Amino acid sequence: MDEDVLAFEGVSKRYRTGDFWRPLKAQAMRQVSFSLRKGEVFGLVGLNGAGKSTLMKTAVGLLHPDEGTVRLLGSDPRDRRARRRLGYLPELPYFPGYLSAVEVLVYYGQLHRLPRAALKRRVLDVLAQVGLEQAAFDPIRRYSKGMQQRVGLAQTLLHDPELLLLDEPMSGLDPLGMKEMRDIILAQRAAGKTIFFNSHGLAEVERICDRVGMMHRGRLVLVDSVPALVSRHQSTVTLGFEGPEDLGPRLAALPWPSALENRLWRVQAPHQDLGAAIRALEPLAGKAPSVLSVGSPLETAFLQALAQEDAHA
Amino acid sequence: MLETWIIASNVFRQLLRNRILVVLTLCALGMVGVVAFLGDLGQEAELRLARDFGLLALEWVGFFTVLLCHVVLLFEESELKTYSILLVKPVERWHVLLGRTVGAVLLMLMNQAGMLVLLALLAWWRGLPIVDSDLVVAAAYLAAGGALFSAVTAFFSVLASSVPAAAMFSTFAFGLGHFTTNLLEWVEHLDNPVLAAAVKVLYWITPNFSLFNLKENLDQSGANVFLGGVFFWPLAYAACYGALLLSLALWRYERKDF
Amino acid sequence: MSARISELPGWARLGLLAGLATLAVASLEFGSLARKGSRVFPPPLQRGIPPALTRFSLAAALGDEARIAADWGYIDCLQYLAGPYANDGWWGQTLPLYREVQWLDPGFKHAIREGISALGWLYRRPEEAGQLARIAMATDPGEVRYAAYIAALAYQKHLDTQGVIKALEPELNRPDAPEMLLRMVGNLMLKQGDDRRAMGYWAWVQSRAREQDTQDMAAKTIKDLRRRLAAGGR
Repeated sequence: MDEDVLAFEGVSKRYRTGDFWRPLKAQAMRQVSFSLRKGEVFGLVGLNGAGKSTLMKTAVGLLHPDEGTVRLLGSDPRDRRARRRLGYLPELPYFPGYLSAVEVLVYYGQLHRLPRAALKRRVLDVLAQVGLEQAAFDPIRRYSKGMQQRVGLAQTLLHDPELLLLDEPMSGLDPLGMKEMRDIILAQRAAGKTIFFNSHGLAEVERICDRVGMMHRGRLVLVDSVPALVSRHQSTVTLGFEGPEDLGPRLAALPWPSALENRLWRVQAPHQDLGAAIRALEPLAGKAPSVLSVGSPLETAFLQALAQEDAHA
Repeated sequence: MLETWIIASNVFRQLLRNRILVVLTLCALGMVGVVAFLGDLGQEAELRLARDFGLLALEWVGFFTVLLCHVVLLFEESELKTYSILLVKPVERWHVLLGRTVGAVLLMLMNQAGMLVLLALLAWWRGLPIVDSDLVVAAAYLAAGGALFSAVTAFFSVLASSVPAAAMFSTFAFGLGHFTTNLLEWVEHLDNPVLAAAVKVLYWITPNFSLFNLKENLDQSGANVFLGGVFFWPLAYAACYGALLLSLALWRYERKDF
Repeated sequence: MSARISELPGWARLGLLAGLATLAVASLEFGSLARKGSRVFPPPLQRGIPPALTRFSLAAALGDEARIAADWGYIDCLQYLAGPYANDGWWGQTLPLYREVQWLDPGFKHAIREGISALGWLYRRPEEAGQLARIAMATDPGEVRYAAYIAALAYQKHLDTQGVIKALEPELNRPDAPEMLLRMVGNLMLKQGDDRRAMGYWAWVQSRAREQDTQDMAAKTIKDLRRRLAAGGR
């Protein structure tokens, strides 16, 4: 489609592992197909090692797919013209330690052929936008992980790209930093940019994204809009209480799943059944059970999708 | 080509601030003092010794500078993944490869030029004509050899699986490249055509650094010794062989996953 | 340029690489020929290996740094000459050391002449001096200055000091004559007993010597000669 800024068609990628005399191949991505529409915010979630970063790197041309095609802004990812309109933030961005943030951004700005006269001003503005104006001229080797993450974000915004690909943008940020990152992403969306990011934080994805994709063992197991997922799945509550092992048969008779871990029984029930669940568990626990955690609809959808995928595997 | 120059100048700037390379630069300048002392040991042959050891020091500083530059750059690429951002910028991979190679050469030239200037100052202070146009030309040819070595190291940086492997292969190529000419001449006098053919192939494949060693020409009078074949062919060789190595490296680099 | 080598058709890529390889090999061959042509002397390994040769020198010769090895060998020679090697067969390693320098770089003529001077007149080993001079002349027949040394050694053999001085006179007038030779001839003149002639000679040596040792020796000798002349010498 003309409005697709990123399109994957049957993309697979294998990594070589093992020793050189006994090479093995690990399947990092299997037949991934999806497209990213202009102006949307897309979140990609999955367990560690699911293939999220692999997908991201394939999208920007750092990895070459073994099968399938990738189109980035209508071109091959290796095409410079496409990459000129792209801002990419890798997962753990590192920069030459002996340069300052200003020098690094000026360097990248020169590669983007930004006008020399306005470049330094633009660099300082972007660094202020990400909260680094005080440390702008310090060597990056003195930066904390969070500060390096901010420099990474700054370099994605410097040339005002129309597409942002962010790999774990919240990584290394404190809660304030996360909020600032969220605000920047939302501001970019408001400015009409297309944003694709991956994350472990389902709450962030639910809050920011229009659509979400879920990866598991290299496959894209679920792609849907956030409102649709929220409407189809319920949030859940996990209740807990201490009790002996022989409560198992009685808990199994209840309509909600339960598990025992170190003498702590955990029961997961839909949010709407909270009252009924507490009433049912109180006699078994001898007191009202504690609320251990609250799961979002997205988490429910995620876990369901994982379970289905594992069942088919 | 602008992107190549931007990358090269940035590589030069970041390497210039790297502590290891700052120490190397200081050692290079210290070597100039050692050269002057060695000249003293030679008494009446002071001038000859100062010039010869000066050129030797230039060559070795060039080797270590280029090698360390590429080691640092390869470490950043493979361990720190600093190139994850650079390679997604609107640059071709050949810009990056060539920029790295040229950046290392720029740092080498800076060190060698600094050594020459210091040697000239010491020579002026001592009243010895150590640095003249012939020495500068000989130094320039060593620099051309150093530029070729930068292409060699860039080649191994792309092909080798680790930083130590790349450093080892590059060092081995540098060493072997000084031996193949004489090895070939020696083997040609032996009655063994198989050995001679094998050494000939090795001679062609290995980068030849003997071509850039013009110390023997320093004693010959007149400027003509640097004209003609001795002047032109080493530069042609550096250009063609360097381009070949970088092309081979680029073939792999373009398909490399990061 | 946006064409990528990995995207070129196979024939184009191979053609490009083969072309560059051919040009590189051609440059190498022509460059080597030019280098051979610019050489005054054949490389060391083509001139036979001397009997006593260090591994360092052999490696340097193979590694195209024969000239550096010759320089280092020359420093070794000077260190050896200045050392306490009277019990070493009276500086018995002098010939092998200088022979090595000559083998590594026949163009290091100053060192060779110095070696001949040291062997012939400093350490009284004229046979070895002659051997070194003849080897040097055989390698470098265009260098006529070695002939003066050979002639002087011949006079030396017949104890003809006057002949030695006369044979070496053209060499002494050269600005790059080894200062060791100047000192040695000065001593021969002293042995002849002609103090006035010797004083004139030493004054000339003092005026042109660059080395402090030679200057000091000349000054001391002139002082001694003045005293002798004042006491009624010839």
